[in-house]
Amino acid sequence: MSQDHDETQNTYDWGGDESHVLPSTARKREAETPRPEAEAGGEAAPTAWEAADDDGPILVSRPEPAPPEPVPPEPMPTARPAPPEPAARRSAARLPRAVPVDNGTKAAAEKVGIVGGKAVGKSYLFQAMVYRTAAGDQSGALTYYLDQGATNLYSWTQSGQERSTTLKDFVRNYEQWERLDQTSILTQRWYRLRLGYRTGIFGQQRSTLDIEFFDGSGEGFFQRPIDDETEPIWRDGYLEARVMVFCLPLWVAFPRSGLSADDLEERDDVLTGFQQVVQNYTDVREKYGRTSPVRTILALTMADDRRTALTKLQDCWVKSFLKSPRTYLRQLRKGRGVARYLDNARRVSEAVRHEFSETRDPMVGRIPSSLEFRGGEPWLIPVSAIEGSRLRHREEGHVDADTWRRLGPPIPVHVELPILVTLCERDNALL
Amino acid sequence: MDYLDLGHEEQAKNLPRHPLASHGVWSLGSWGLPAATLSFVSLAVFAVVLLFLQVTAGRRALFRLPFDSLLLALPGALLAWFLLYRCRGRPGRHFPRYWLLFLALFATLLVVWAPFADLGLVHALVTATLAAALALLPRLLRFRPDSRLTQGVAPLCLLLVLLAILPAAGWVASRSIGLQADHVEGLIRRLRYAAAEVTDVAAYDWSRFADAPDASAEQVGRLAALSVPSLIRDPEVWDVAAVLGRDDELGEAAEELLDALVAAVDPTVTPKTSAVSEPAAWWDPVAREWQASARFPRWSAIAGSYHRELGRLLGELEVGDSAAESAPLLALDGVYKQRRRTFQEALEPTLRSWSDHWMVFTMPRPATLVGRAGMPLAELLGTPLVAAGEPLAPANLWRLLRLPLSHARELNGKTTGCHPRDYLFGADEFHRLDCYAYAPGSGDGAELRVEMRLVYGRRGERSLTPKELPSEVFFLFPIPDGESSTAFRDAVMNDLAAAVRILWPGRLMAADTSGSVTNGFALVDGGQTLQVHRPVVDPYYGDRNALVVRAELTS
Repeated sequence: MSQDHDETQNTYDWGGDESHVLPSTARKREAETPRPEAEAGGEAAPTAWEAADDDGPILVSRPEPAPPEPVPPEPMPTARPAPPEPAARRSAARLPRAVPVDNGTKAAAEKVGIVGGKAVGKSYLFQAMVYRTAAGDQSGALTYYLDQGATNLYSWTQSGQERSTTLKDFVRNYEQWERLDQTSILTQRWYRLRLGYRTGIFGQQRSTLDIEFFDGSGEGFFQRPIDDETEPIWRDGYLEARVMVFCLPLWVAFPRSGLSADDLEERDDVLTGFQQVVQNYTDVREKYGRTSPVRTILALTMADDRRTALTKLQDCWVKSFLKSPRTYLRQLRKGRGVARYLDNARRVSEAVRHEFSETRDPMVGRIPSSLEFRGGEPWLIPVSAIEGSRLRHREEGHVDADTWRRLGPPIPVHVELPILVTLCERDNALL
Repeated sequence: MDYLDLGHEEQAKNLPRHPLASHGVWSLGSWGLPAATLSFVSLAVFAVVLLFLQVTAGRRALFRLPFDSLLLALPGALLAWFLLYRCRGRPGRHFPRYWLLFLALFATLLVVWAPFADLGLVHALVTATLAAALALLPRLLRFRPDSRLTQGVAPLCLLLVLLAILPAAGWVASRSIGLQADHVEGLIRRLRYAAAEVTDVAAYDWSRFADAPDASAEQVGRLAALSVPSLIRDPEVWDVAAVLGRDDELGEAAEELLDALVAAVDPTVTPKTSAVSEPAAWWDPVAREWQASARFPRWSAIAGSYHRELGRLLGELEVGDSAAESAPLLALDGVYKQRRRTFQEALEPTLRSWSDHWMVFTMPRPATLVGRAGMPLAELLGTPLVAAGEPLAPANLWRLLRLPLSHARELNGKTTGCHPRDYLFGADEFHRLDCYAYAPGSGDGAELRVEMRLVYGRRGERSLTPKELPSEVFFLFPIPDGESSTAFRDAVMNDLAAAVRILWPGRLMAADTSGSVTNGFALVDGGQTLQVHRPVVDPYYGDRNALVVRAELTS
């Protein structure tokens, strides 16, 4: 795995190049294509690439005719869409073990809940987080803390068998811009990301932070009202989590004017799904009488998406990072860089909170308050796990393979902040 | 915008220009993560507080905590170790953990060092270390990355700790300097007051002290009430005085007192037992027994106390071994030694006085002051009765027994502690010169050590002629309580014989075949023999006895 890309890769204008806009006819045809989920009644299948406007293409989803393949144990399932899932297959027997078997480490695992509805980018976010933490001295805000070479990843298959996952394998598809499947109920699994860092009076002691993440199906698990089958996972997977990351695409919360009907329909679906996820989490806490404070982060995913109205925020917080990532990553190796970064992240969070208070949509306006679980106001962080426009261009074959290799891997933006929050919650890392 | 359009209108309020944008003064605390910035703040607090307490010579030398520095050093060390324990599991770079480790070790060193070094630097280090540990207290808090305190805690902590510590340290420093300036001022005042008191007491008319014993005792009481603070020997006090620019003044005050003591010990102005009219004991011819004087003990107590207090004050001014630790103190030591020699010279006449020498031995540590702890009897018996002119000593028996009455009468007023007496015993005329020598008593006063009588007149000789020679020399030595009369007799006779030998180089023969002088001895000079008779023990006053020795010319 490498982030040895050159910043010149950004000289290629991915988003604004009209030549890469799909023909309107194609868009129309694809828009008319019936959705597999409507036919099968299962989890949403990839639909279509659609342009939000004439400025450029916007990634929403992609139809994939390929048939479903057996779920590989690892790496993380990619490049293949999940098949429409029959209701009959949603059984508890197919759910992975909620509490993974400890692999022998004495370090207590810190559960981090990354939850969200369908197609909000949860898996990409986790994949980007793993990629970022495994990037050595380019781990962003975590470089200051992490012990290089001490990151490892474990996953649990459906049988509950734990095995080490090769990081290189896990992030290979991410580096190669391979599209992830939408997580189906069959491909749900647990991951444990192990991060090493130095502690002790002399700084010679190695400690580990284990972060457990459940890669659940948005439609088959998160958006599904709690029932006997899903409750054990909610209970075992999220009740103990001190940090909860709720994922919602930035453009869904703050859409720009003139979105297409499909976009608006998708927005409604995602918002509805998000509310159901929040409701599920609230319900399970209430049912089990949990009053412990939970630190919540609203990860405003797909922050590079052109469908958002927050273009100034996008420019200063996401695009400026994408333009010269190495500069930022270099500065983030130092405590001063991390401190300034956190200062600006707080300012961005406050700005986004202000945007929430000014939104016309009351459903959106109450999102921040709905995410308060005795742990204070949620931290609102626009993130980008993978640059959508590049992903789309690669898949459309507009760039030859050599050029693509030269341009390097994706650039995750601000995805490490939830891990930093977790490190602070467990080890009070800032102090 | 269409009212049905759900498109959001961006507010873009207070957005940073880019993810690592600086916000000028508002980014003050974002030059590092809180663990590092707080460690730097702790280091800065340590340096600022130490500098604050060491920046001026006054604070550097005089800053003292108002209590034992250990009471501050111990909490500082405990706090540092507690912080180290609580923060040992924190991830991050090394500076915060190494600074905390250094602080804990240094604070522990201060705990060990502080009890043995009451120095301004140690007190300042203890204060600075505690302040540095306090500045790290926010590390016990728990901040989240999106907390404003993440950037604000270090500047806030620096401000609060300095606002709390610096005024308090400044107040303690001012109070400490004020207290020590008061000490110096008080010391100068006391020395000058003592000098004035000594001068005033010495100016009292001591020649007539026996006539007004109450007033005289009150004067001596003034001396007894004086004392020289031990601070005079404290090098630190002299350093303090030097810092305050008052070391010369302090030295002058000490010198004034030394001068006053030297002047006060001049025998021309001191109270003396030789000046009193009544001896410690006298023979009552009616009751035919010795009577103790009722007034002498008080007189001698006044004279003895006067000298004892002057000697005490001189001793209290002695610098001693601490002189080497301070230049001003070394200078005072030089002045002291010079004045001490002058003091000893002034004591010399008193020390050579047959009657008054005992007063020198009431002073503390006479052995170091005059080279001996007491007056040996042999030396005492060789002490001249007359200060100048006549080499007439009690042991100079030949000279005494050949002293015509007219000469004896001329000695009246020239001798110290001698009282001429003319009296009739029956029809016979007698003349006596009674001379008393004293020794320090068990109390403040003196007790009789030797009474020597030069007796003129014999029974059957009605009148005395000017050329009349003494009929005998009579010695009375009160036997000290608890001492064997035989041993005392042996000692006295040996001393008398020794004193006689010194003053008369002729032959001295034992009175019997034992060869010992303890039963008497004889001196032969040409055709004349001077017989010192065997001593006898007679009752003295009270339960005491006295050894009586008589000497006369036998042929």
